[in-house]
Amino acid sequence: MPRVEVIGVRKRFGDVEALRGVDLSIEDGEYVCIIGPSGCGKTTLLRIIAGLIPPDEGHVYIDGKLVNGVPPEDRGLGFAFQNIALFPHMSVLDNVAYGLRVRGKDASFSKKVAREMLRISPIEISPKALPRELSGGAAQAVAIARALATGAKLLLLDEPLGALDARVRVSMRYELRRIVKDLGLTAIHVTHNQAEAMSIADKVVVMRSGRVMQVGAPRELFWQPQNLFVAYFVGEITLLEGYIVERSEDRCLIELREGLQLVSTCPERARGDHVVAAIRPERVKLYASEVGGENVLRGKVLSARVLTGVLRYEVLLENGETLLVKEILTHAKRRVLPETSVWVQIPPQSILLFDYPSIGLMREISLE
Amino acid sequence: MASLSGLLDKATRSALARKAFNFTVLAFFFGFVLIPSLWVFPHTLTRLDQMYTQVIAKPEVLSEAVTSLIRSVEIALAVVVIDVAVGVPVAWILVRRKFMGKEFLDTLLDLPVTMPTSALGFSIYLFWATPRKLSMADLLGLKTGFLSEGPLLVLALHAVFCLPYVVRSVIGMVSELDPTYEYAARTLGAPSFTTFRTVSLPSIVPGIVSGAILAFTRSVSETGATMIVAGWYETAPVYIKRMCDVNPDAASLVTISLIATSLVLVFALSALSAYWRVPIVRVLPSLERWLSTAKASAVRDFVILAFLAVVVFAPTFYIAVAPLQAPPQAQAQRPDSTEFGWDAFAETLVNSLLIASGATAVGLLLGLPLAMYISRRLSGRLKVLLDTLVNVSVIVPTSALAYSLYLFWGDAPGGLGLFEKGLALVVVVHMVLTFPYVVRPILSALEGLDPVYEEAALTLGAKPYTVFRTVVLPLIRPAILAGVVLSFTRSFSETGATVIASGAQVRTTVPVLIVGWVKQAQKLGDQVALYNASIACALLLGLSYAMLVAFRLVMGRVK
Repeated sequence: MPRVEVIGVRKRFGDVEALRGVDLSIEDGEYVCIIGPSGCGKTTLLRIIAGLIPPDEGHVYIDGKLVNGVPPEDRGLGFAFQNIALFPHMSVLDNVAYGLRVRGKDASFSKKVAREMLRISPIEISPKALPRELSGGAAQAVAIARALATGAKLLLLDEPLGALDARVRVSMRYELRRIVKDLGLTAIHVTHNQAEAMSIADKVVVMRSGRVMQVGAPRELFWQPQNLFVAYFVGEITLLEGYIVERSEDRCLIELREGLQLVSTCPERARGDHVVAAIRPERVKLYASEVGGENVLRGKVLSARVLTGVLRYEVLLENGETLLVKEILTHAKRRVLPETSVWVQIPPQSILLFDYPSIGLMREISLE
Repeated sequence: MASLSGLLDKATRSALARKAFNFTVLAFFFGFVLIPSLWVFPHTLTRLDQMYTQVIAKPEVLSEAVTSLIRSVEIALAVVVIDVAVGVPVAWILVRRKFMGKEFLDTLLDLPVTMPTSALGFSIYLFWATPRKLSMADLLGLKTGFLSEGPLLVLALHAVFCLPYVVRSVIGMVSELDPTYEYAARTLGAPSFTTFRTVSLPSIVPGIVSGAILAFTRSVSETGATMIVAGWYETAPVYIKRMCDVNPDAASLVTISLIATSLVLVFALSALSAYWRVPIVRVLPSLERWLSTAKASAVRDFVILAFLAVVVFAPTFYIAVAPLQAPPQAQAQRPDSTEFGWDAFAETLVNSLLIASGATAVGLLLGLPLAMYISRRLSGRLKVLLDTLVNVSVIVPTSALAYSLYLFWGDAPGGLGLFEKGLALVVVVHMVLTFPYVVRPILSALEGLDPVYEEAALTLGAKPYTVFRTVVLPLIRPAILAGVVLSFTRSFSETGATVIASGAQVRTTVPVLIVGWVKQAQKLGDQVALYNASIACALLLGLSYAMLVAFRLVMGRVK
């Protein structure tokens, strides 16, 4: 059964350190997504697992067996590429049968299996078609059938939906998960699209500059990010700089710029700490008139956007900083217009506190 | 400069001036390059009765002509098979493998097409042929040579100077292969050899085909060097050379057949490569896995590189070793001392360099606008037609081309009677034969250049000439330089066409002089002439290598 274990993997390309010591453990049957900004090393990691490039240091285990030095053709895995890479000179059927043919299986057997395998595609595809005659979605479905036709139980996907139209991309991602779960596969899926990762993964790995920043279930990453980068990279968030000015039992008072104050739950912090308060816009409540309670701040609506299913506001606080607010869009709800004065309430337990980074906030969350 | 630019800007905006300019360029291409190159066809149509009485009705003449033609095609086909078999792995090694001295090997590979073919032919002749003074066999103290003058030696020569065409053309395709397809095949379970056979090879077929076409047409048209090594084995271009004064109709027949064979082959191959899909033959997993092992591939690489060293490089460089042997005693009787002196060498070398530069300059001046015209003004069928015609002028075997040009410009019946065979005709021949070599790379670069940059410049207010000068020209500079290098080296090394255009004269270009020296020395057994020829060839080898290195430096800087 495919478990994948990556221990201490490093890789350099000339002057660029693509991977700086990556440890990762993937359980059998898991759908894992690796996300991170471009150049974070996620594709390099996937290629090292596949054996397409060798690591400079570290070990890769598949099913408990060390596979360093084992060529890709002997790793028994399937790989799907962003540019799909169906062989242009072969028909759909020949493409899917390819893995069996090169293992010496005869043509009629290989084609029979290939026909079976093509059934996983949600779209009807003519086996005689040439790759250039297929739509993007159909081509990727064929590529995945091809990757699995040899009986691979580990599926590696490198931006598999990146080349597809927006609408197809969304429906294909659920199809992908369905195929993986139906066939009992382990999948490692690299993407830069966090919505894709959050909606289909059992476990998400966030990478940055060749390092793993956090591994966890989608909701864990969203609600309990372990560092500022993950907090900023996953979903939207407001980051406010401040100092802890008072502290009692499990609560503390944070003074933001211009003396604006917030109450927050705050374990393991001391008076005087320089912190960043991170606030998910989904947790903030917006009122048209003044309300009572903790952490109610005055502000003015800068912009109000209707997104799919959500109203998104930028609210200018009295200290000149901007707070994001998201409300569920319902039929009855009216948009609060820009320039309107509003009151926002931030529940103290929803504020995430991080140490103010020594290299500065902008560099800490930079995507470079 | 500014005023000239302004003037040209104005001119390019005037429809009349532009039309006149385009007309000039097209007139040059059709009137000077294409029609004279193919003049042998109309020429023959007007002389069908003579063709019948002089050639068809005389069985011995006809059989001699046909024999020479068959020989040329046989040699060329054998060359294509050998050079594809060697050239594809060499190209693969040069692109994919990393090893010491790769750059050097890459440069050396161009040497056989850069140095004058006759110098190369002489070197190969001395390396392989029957023992005589200066030869390899003599140096080793052998009684017999490795190959005697005849078909095998012709093959050994042609395989060498045609190889770079295949290698360059395949390198172009291999370096543009998207590695993802190979990754896909590998993760699907194909070892590296199977991946090459089933995925990479089908993708580089177009490169192999165009390389094979160039190799075929070059082999079928080579005259000068072939004369040195062929002995009794007369190929078609050598036959044309001998017959064009004795029996011009026989020469015409062979010329027409050479051009037709090349054109038919080219169109057949291009059509085939467009429709033919490489089938997946049954895979033999254990054998192919073994062939994919590091050891097997190292052995393969070694065999290929050893073949290169023994069959290509050693014979090419032998000429640098030959003159190190003791010079022979001077012989009393020299037939025509002026043609054998070093002043003749100096004069023809200067001629060669001047002709190569001049022909390239003219080609650039008229080829650049022609390429612009085809790429930017034409569309649809007309564009395909002109593009094909440019290719046709590459395909016409150069010795056939030279004979055609002689019929057009020279004193043959129906000709213009402007030039005798000699230096003037040589200059014309070189202008024509180098022209497509300038146009081709520029045209490809223009086709690959997104017109959006020109549109952007136009919307920013630049006038057409300024757009060309400030946007197009800098972006296609590498292609222009490639065209210049190709054209220059092609002219400098060309022997076949020049020998035919020179007629009885020897003091035209340096490759022709070398042929003259060697042939004369072979006939009279003149050891001094042979020795001098070897020194001259060694000098040309050195000069060609220096030119190659210089071109590489400039190209590297431009890219």
